[in-house]
Amino acid sequence: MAPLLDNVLYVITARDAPDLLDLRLGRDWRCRTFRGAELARELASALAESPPPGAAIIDCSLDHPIDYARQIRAAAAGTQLIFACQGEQAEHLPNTVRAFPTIGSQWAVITRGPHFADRLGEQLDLIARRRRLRTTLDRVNLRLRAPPALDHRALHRLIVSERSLAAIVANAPDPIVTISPDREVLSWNTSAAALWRVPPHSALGQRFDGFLDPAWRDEFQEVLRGVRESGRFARREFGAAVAGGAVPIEATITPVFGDDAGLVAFTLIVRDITLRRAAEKSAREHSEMLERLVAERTARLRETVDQLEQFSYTISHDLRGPLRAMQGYADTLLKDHEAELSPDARLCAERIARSAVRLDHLTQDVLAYSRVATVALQKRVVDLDLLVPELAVQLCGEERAARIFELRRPLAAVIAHDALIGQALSNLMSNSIKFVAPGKLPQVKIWTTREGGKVRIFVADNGIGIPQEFSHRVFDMFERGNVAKDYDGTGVGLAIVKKAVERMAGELGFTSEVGQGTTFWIDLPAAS
Amino acid sequence: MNLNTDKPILLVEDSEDDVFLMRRAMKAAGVRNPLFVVGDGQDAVGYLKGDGPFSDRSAYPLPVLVLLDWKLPRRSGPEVLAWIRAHSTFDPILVVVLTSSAEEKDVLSAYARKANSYLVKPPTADELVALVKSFRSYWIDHNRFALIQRPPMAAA
Repeated sequence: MAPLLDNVLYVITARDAPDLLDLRLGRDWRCRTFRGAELARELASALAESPPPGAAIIDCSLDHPIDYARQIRAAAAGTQLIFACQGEQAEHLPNTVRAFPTIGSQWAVITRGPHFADRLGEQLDLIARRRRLRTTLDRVNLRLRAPPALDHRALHRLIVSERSLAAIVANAPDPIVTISPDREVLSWNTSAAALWRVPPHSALGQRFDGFLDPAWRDEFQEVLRGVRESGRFARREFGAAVAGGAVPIEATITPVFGDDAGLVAFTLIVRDITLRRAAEKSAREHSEMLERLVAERTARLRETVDQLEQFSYTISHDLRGPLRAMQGYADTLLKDHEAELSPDARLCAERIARSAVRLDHLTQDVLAYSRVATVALQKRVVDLDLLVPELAVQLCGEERAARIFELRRPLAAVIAHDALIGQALSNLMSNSIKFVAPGKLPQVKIWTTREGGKVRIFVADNGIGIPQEFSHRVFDMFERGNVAKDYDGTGVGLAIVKKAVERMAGELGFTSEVGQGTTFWIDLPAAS
Repeated sequence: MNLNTDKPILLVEDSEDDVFLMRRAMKAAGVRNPLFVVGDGQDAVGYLKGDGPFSDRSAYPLPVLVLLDWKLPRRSGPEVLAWIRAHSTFDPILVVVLTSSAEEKDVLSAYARKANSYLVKPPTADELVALVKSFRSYWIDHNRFALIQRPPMAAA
């Protein structure tokens, strides 16, 4: 067994007889004795060693025992000082020692006499026990404060992260609740308290079901079961029971598992979705309202289109019948009753017939216009190189067409509605051969150019031309410009062209010089 | 005597003007077939069925050709045509639609109901004569008619 005290210094005078002491001290403790002329020097060098001595015995028969005590204390703060006194010296020494606060309180006085060695032994035993106890306590405390295996920085990080989480949960704008597997509330943050208007101390320990609208409790348990089984979070909408009634909430429910993989809790992050619900409802109502509006307007539009179609049909049938009759009766008069007619009557009958024919043309053109305006638009590739020669022959027969029309072929293909483009070009071509000075052979050049995705179709004639002042009215309905009355026409033809081109999302225009001719152009998307 | 005199034509036309002009055009075009006229769709069906006054077939013989206006009172042109084609007895009867409408949907609906031809009434008397002339040439002079075998059954 190791000595109870590693190191005991015995500072004695020359006169002292140390034998008895040495015997006892030497057996139980490692003891060094300083005496004689070299005492001060040897003591100083011993005190410089480490570890400091456990105790120091100072013989008070020395000239200045207090000086030695101060010297030892200055070098070793924890060393127990034992003053060995003679007779009445033991009575006044304590006062002398207390006069030097630097010596501190770790000291004792022993009186020399028959039991001196025993008392000294007791003192040293006491010191040794105290010291051992302190060492043990230190070890225990060390273990309690910081387990040796733990990295202090990791511990710090752990504590910071734990406290951060706690702070986040506490201050989260959303209610955060922890419940046990039996749905008992384990934690309840400030926002939860605000939503349910229940303080944490009232909520803790309660069954969470009570905070849900009764209609949702079964489903809530169902969801918990699913979360527990799948081990994964679920986000669902529920109704919370609050003081004022039910509040729609969305809860993100996450299972928490312990070290043994058993379920220990559920965390619920709750969101009050009253506003979201209101916004959704308003958006839904708004879109329903819009849909209704669109449906109503579409229906009204359809009705209008239907009425227009009905109107066109009426024109084609009912208006044309009487016109045919007028013309027919006038013709009957002229042909079957020629002999009975005076020249005036004959003129009148001719004019009736001509007016009827003209009115018939007008109704036909209006009908064509409305057809162009309302026909269902279906675009496809139209090859002008096939369409234009056909239109030319339709307009004036093969032989005349060859003399009048100069087609710079091949003409391009365009994306168009075939009836609309046919109607538009036919009108332009028929105008171009109609509006020429009397006696002049119409010459019409037709060609196409392509630029980017567009094709421009040109129809250029050698006609009478359009004066500048009428150019802005050319495409208006029933507008006949300055056209002399010798030229037949209803003034609808170009309005039809414009409507047809507009419906195909194309563009049109013209350049003209009076007496020289007019060049109309139409832009349409090119067929690739 | 014209070969076609015994091949009657039934004109279903509500406009007296058009009836007048058609009679005149037929005369001018040299059509000599007997022409019978009814003024609406109901009478057209009655005529073919032999209802009431039309039961006398010597006075109202079954036509070989029906000129059918498309817009008619009581029963419309499409209804009359559908009725005729629903009775196979009348399969040999040619039905030519003669109307003022050039609407694509009318043309389509006429052929869908098995019209034999579709003609648009021309705007002038002269053109009507020209039309009836070409009509006569094809549908009366050249076309070969089948004879109606049995008297029509009482139909709905």
